[in-house]
Amino acid sequence: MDEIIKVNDFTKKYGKLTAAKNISFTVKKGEIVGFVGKNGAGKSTTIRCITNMLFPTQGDIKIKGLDSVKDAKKINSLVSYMPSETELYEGVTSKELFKLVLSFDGKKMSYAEELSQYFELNMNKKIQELSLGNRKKVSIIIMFLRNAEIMILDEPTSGLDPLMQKKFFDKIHEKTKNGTTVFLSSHNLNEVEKYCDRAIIIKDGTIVDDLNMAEVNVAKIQNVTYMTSDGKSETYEYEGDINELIGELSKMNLSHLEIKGKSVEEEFIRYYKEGEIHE
Amino acid sequence: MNNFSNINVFTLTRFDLKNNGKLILVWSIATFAITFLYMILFSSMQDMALAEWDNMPVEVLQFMGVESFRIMADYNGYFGMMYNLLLIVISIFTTTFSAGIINKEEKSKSIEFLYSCPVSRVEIYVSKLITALIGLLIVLSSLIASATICGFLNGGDTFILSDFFQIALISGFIAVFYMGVALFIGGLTGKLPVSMISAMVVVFTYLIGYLGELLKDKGEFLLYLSPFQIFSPTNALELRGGTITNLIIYGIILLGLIAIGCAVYRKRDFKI
Repeated sequence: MDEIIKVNDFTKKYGKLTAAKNISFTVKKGEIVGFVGKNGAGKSTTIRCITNMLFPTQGDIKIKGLDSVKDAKKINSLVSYMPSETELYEGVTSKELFKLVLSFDGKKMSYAEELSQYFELNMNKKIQELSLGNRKKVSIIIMFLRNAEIMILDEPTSGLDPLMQKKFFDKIHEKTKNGTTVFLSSHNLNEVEKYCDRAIIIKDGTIVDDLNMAEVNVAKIQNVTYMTSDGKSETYEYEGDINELIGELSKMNLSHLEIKGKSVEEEFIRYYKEGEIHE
Repeated sequence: MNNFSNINVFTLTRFDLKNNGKLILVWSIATFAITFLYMILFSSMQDMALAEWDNMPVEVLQFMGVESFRIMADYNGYFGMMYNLLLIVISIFTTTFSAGIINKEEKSKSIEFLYSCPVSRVEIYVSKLITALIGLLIVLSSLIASATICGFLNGGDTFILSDFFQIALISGFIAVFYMGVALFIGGLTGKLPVSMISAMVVVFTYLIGYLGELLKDKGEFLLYLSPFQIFSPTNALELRGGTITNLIIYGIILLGLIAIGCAVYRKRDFKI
């Protein structure tokens, strides 16, 4: 089956408040899909409905063809879910938590030790003694320990330093090479641009765009600023082949040139500033 | 894949018991000590019971759940009087403990971790039920063990082991029932302060029973609303007022509450 996650016309209401409205998207096998939006846009609500923490008000969510409500336990065995909150049991050590997680799948501790070394975590410390970043590492390790074929991650790198973020995505790429599908929410648009195959943008509970990173990177809009030797200057947006742009610019006698590619971040900000919705 | 795995329930229960081990231990030691300190005084209280205490106002006797202080001359009666009061405390412990283990997960959001494991909601609920029951049984056992030791030490002829255990087990059901009430409320909602509500149910039903005693015939129906009255040590010992029938009825209500709590827990949003 190619479609691993299929969200179809999903709506979630809390009383009168609509947190997510008519959301539909699919995630294919082996993809890394970023789910971006500002705080309160509906990212966590959507993810929590996919993982059956919450129940959809309308629509349906399928994981490998299984219904998120009726087949919740089967889905739990297919999915590694990493919540955005790092609230764990304060009085226990990371090692005890790892043992608990591994005991469900009958696996041994050696993988937990290996991951703890990789993410530089002392697993003998109690959760209450760990910093926010280290708690995040515990959640990350638990997620990798599950070793499931689908990973659903809610802001996995917030609180991690840049080196750890890189290590995290290296590990994620290792998994996707083996066919693991990853769906992650993030505030960090640079990391979405760098590591994801697609970016789904959500605003006010509605999907406003679904960007294919390969296409964004190839047909990127360029911000061009130049000044000629006679003092004439201009700034404009260029969309097209970068070689043709350079060809045109080389005919001018330039004293200054700046070409800056438009990023997912700029697209994201555009949606949020202008309220523009792509059809 | 089965929707219910005993191994998963066992794993979750073991983890919960380990997490709450200290609390259960503290309560067990405290219950053991309080019971021991009270029950060891039996021989010196025995004479006083016969001599002076029957001049107490009848309301005080009713509040203590006894008909006469003369029962203090009997080890089982003396135990029953204390047991009746300690059961209020143990019932409050079990309601706050049971509601706590089920709702703390949602309040602290650790349920997101727990439910990310390959377990079902029913398995989580059942593991909480077993943890609450084991915690309660440990605390109750420490009380009963303490009173049993004192019975052998200074109970004399009035310590009749079979009667003692009849009181301990039948009246002990009061706490088991309130544990079920707490799990029921915890299953229904993650939004409300379940521990507090459950503890209030304990106090309220105790007072209802007391009111029923005060009102005599006019308020007899109130007695049936209070497990403290229905399963009072006196009723438990003498098996009065259809105690066994009531035990069966309350047992069915208890199972019903747990089943409903579990069914709703399966189908409701986690409060996260």
